[in-house]
Amino acid sequence: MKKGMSLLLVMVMLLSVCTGALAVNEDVEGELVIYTSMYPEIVDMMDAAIKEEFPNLKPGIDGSFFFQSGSGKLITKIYGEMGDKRDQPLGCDMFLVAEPSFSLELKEYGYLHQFEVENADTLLRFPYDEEGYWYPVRVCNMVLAYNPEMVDEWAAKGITIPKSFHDFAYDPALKGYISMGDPMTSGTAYAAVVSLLGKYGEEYLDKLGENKVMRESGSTAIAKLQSGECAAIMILEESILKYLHDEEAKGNPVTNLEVIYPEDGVVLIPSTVMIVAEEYSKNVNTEAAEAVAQWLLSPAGQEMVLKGYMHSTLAEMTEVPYKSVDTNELIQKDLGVDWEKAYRERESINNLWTLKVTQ
Amino acid sequence: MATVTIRHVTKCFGENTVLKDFDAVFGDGEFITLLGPSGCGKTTMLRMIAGFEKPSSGELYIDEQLVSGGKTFVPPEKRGVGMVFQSYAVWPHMNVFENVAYPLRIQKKSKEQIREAVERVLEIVHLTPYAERLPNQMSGGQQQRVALARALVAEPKLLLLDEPLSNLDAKLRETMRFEIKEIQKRTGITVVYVTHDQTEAMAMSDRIFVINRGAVQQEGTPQEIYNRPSNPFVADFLGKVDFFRGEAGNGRIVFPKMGGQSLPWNGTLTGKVLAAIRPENFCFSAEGGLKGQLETQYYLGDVNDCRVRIGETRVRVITGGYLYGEMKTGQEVALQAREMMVFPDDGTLEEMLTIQT
Amino acid sequence: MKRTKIGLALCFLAGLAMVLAGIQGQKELAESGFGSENGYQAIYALSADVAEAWGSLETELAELSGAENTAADSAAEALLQEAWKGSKENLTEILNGAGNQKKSTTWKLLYLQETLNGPKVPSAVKKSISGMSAENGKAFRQALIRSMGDESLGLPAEAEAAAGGLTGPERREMLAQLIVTSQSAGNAEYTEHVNQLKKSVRGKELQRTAFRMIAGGEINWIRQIIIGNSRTVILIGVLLMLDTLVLALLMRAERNWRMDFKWIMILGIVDFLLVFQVLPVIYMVIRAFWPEGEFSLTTVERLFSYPLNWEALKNTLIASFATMILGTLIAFPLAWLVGRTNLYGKKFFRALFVLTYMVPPYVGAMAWLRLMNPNVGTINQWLRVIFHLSDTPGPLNVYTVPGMIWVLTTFYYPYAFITISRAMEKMDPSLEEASRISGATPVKTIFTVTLPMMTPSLIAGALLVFISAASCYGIPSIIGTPGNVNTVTTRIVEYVALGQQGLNDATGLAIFLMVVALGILFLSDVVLAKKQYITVSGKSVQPAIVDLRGWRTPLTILVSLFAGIMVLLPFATILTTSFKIDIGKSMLAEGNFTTANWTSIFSRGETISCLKNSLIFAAVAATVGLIIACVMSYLLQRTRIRGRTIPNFLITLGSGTPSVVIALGLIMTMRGNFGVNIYNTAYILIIAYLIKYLMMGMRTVVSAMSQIHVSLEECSQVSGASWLRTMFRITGPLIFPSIAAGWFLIFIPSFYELSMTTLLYSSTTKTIGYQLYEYWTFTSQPMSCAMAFGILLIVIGLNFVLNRLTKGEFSI
Repeated sequence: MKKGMSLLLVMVMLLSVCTGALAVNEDVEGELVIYTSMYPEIVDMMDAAIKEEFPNLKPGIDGSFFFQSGSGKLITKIYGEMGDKRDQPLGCDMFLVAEPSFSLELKEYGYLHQFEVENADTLLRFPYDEEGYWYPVRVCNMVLAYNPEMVDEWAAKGITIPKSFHDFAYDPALKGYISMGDPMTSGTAYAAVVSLLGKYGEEYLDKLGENKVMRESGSTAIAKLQSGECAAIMILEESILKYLHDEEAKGNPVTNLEVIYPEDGVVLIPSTVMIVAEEYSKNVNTEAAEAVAQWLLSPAGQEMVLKGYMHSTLAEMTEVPYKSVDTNELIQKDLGVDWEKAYRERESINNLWTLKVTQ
Repeated sequence: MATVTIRHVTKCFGENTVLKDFDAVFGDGEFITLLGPSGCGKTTMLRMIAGFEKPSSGELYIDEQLVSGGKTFVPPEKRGVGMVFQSYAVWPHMNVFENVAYPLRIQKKSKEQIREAVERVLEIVHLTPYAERLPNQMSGGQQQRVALARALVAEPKLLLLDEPLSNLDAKLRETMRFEIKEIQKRTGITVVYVTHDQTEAMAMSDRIFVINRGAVQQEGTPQEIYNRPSNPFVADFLGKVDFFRGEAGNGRIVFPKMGGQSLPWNGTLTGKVLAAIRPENFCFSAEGGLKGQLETQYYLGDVNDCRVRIGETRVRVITGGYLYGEMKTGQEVALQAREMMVFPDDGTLEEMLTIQT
Repeated sequence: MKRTKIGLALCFLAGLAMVLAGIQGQKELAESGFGSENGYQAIYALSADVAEAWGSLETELAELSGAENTAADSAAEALLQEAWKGSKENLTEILNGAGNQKKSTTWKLLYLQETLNGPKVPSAVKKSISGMSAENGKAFRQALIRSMGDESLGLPAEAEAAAGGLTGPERREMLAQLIVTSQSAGNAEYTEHVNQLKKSVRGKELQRTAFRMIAGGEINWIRQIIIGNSRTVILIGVLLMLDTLVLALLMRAERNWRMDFKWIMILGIVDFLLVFQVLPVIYMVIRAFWPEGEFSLTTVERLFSYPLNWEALKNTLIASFATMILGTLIAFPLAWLVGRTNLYGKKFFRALFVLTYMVPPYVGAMAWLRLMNPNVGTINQWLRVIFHLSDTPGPLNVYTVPGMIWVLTTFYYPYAFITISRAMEKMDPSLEEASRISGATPVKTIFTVTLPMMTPSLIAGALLVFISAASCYGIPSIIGTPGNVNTVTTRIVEYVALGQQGLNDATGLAIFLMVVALGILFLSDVVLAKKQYITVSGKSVQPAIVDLRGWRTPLTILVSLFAGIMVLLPFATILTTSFKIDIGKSMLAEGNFTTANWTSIFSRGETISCLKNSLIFAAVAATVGLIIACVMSYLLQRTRIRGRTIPNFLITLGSGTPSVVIALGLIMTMRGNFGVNIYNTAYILIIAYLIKYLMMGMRTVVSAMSQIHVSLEECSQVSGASWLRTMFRITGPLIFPSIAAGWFLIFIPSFYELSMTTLLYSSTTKTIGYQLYEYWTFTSQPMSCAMAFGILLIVIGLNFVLNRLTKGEFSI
């Protein structure tokens, strides 16, 4: 009897704790707007998940929490909202966009809100801001890609598919047959350029220029691989994985697109979560923002990230996105990006790029 | 300088037959007028001669050369005719000299020849001082003369005019009428003139073709058409006329609506007839004739336009202005008819006279 | 006359008053330190709310004993003192009234304090509180108030969970919070107003100021309007003053003091343009040339110290001129053949030739990319086979300036084609007939008569092509960038991504484009002014058909060939790609054909709602644009008012500005800084489209109107018709085909517009253009091709429907 009672008590306590935990998320209220550059399907999924997790939190922008756009455009919009004196409030409360150099910039402008993530040092396996202004929440991965079905055709023309970033730029046979994103407009491409500059120096850009690399968006590049216009492209792993997944979901197995994990390393680009400082935020709801950020960094939130074909930033997470490879392995091979440099020397790096590659 | 032969030309626009079996020959140097109300097909005929329309059937010859018919078609630029359009069609981006010189430039005449010809023709139309002017700085009448000059400058064998005077004021119209006629007499050019104004037609033409609803009603000299119209339409279209219904027989025509009075007539028709009498062919007589009352007199200076009531009919009488003082409104008068045109009455008069546009 | 003058004077004074009031309001706003004007609106709203809350609280307090009241009052005041410690606002002063005055102020302040800064009430408790009946609620609150004054008193059950374990000031706070929660339970409006206050009054200090103002009821509705909307008030005041001044001057010049509806329309439109077109543009100009408040050319100097920018400039000018010339050269003969001769299949060709601009530029660019890329382009492959060339890249390379010119031409020549066609159909044929009868062949007639007569519309069409090509982004970014061909527009976008400094640079470059656009416009107006070509007279005319005779078949073949290359080839590419799985293989290759792309797009609900949005926005933009165009062209052509070309310039300026810059300008100026806040609404999208595409419609209408003789309208006026009636019954129908063409020229680009939409849209205003872009970048090209082709079919369908409805009058 006593045992039963204590068991019941324990269960009740557990229950109340659980409901208490649930009740915590029920306490999150007000409105929230998040600007993000993630894929629309992932955004829809996350939107639904957040609505479920925080039932009293109101979506701040026409029934959704998110405003979604390409990262370049989103940054433009944010700049526009800041105004030329950088003192105007923004239209959002949180960002899930771009990479740490942008976070550094916003931090300097005083637009970010400090918040604490418990045990960040053991929780995360990517760098985060010590002062608590930004944390990495998802990881993009810059790699190469090729068309396995056309290997022979390329070989007949005397072209071998490059296996490293080095060969991508340095192999003269590839001249006119390579393509990558435009670092002037794509944050991730820019990060990759900074990383490769760090590894190979300015010569890398010279070689890219000599090889007449074409600059374009991801999906155009994929199409060029398939049509045989390009032999190899530099592209985000997630674009490839998404394509593979979409096609296979439609019942079309893909044999003409494959990722190359470059031998000289990959470029891992963590994308951050930032909360807008109270004075500039739209809904002045930092509590909710913090709660959502916390959720994003929890296994439940990271599930979504994986579904978005990106790697998780949690140290504990062993799962990988669709058809990808082990994240920790990738971290081993990471070429790394000097984010401070990427931020501070943006203009000179851009000039270098235009000088060596686009002229 | 050219003849125009039109052999059984018919023109249809879709379901609409605009010209029925036009068959005629225009002689060299003749001034021919195609006269009729709007929509009768006269402009279409002119355009076919010019080459802007093709006949649906039949043939057209200019100066014995087949220009339209069967498999043959000579385009307008090769027909060597001059044309004056109703809207003048003077090019606004060229000055008067350039406008007139245009046909000669096409023919690649030398500068000297062009200058000579243009000046000559500008002289004819009295526009010499305006050679450098732009059309939008000129009045309608002046533009019309530019168009005329342009049409004449290349000394074409045939001149076509499409209602050229309809946009001018009355005085100018009269002046231009004589000018055009003068030019034609002097140059001896064959002219085909289209108009709906019968005064113009009468004043200028050697022959008139009266057209209504696509069919030629009558063809002849102005005198013939005026005095011996072949049907009520022609009688009505040219000049003024009144129609009276009557019964013909026994050398007289009885007018029921005139209280049964009658006039002598020795024609061959009997039965129901239409008597068409022109107002100027009535005269007041001392005795005999149709008796009635003088209802109104309109004094117009040179004529006295009267209305006489005879029975149920009102008759229009035009007589000399000098009679105005001599007659009193309301007095009893008698009318004699100098000339009377008689047509059979098949009941279609009203319909025939309705202008179909 | 006197009445009008008095009326004008009054309006002017009213405007002045508004401006002064607004300025005063701004001053007060600045002094108050509130972040935005909304604060005043919130304060006003909250004053009412709080007064109401106090009303019921007062009765509840009255039911307690005197001692309980005193205890509660002291507790409340103590709480306030604690919360207002160190504040600049002196609480004692605020509470210095006696008796009931002090009581009500205390409790009102406490009410607000707790609402905004009180401790969190667990949601379970909240739920149970809001479920209470009025009776229970009252009892609940009274118990809480008693307990606030005397800690020893017990708590009602619901409060226990929240405040049970607390003591002292913490307990009192929680109790106060519970009282407030209970009072405002279920009052959504109150929550709304509070949120508004939170957003516009940031910082604790300001909050207390706001509380004081609310508790003291310091804002009445007039002040609320003036201060709360001070910028809008100033804006309206300025406009009013401007309007009355201008109107007075105009009337004086025309010596006609009768108030006519047309004045109101014209001024209304000018105002509209001023606010939505001039303002953003001027703002951007000031940014570029007065970056730090002082005029400086450093931005421009720096920009043009980079050779890359010079190159971009050069490329843009070359490409635009070439496109303009090529496009007009193509459009004129085509328009003539299709409109004036007996070419076989005229109607078919006519419809076909305007198709190319009905798809977004980047879709067309992608097709040409597929066809003419040097490595595996379809046309290149054919050419290699036909001419036995070796397998090396070429011979055609689309990633070059000529390649870009080609694609730009195929895309933009329809603008010239449409403008010229319309005018040609309305031309008096006797002008050409006179030339024919004078001995000139049809060809000679074209050169000596038709061409010179069509000069106004030729120039109008050419201008459209030039400006569109110069400010186009989609095609240079897809065709030019891979080949390192930079243009001003691509450079602008690159600068924008660079950060704040980059925005200034971007604006500087954009200004260059605007200047070019203006220059061209100016030149063309100067040229055109000399030639007044009235070619539509009172007679209705049938255009004369030129018989091509022996040339009929060869020309038809030539035109078909042309149509095939320019139109059918790219569209076929798009269509076949939409059915492919693997882009690299042929559609007919085994297993490569699929309709999945089509089905998946058109079965999504999102597509339907995007479609609806696009149709509505584009239609509204086009209709409003046409009205503006008609009024403006009337102003230009039928009045002699000085400065009537100014709106014209403004409109052209807008069209010459790259979309990105327009969007940025709108973002920066339309968020309330200048009295207008339409950010994140559908209106800002519509206005963006208007700014960018208004010129298309306007030029078409203007050149049509210029060919109509004024006598036609004068005749109507003499018959007694008012200005409006004349426009509707006479002018309108005469230029109806051009109006229709102009409508479509605005509708279609707005329909699939992309660059501005991505920056200005919000979730409910997603358009089909954006949807397409999403597919393009995030999904797959076959899918975006399916959508593009679908859009094309929709537009064609729309054209067909409208054509039928208006019996052939209203169509492209």
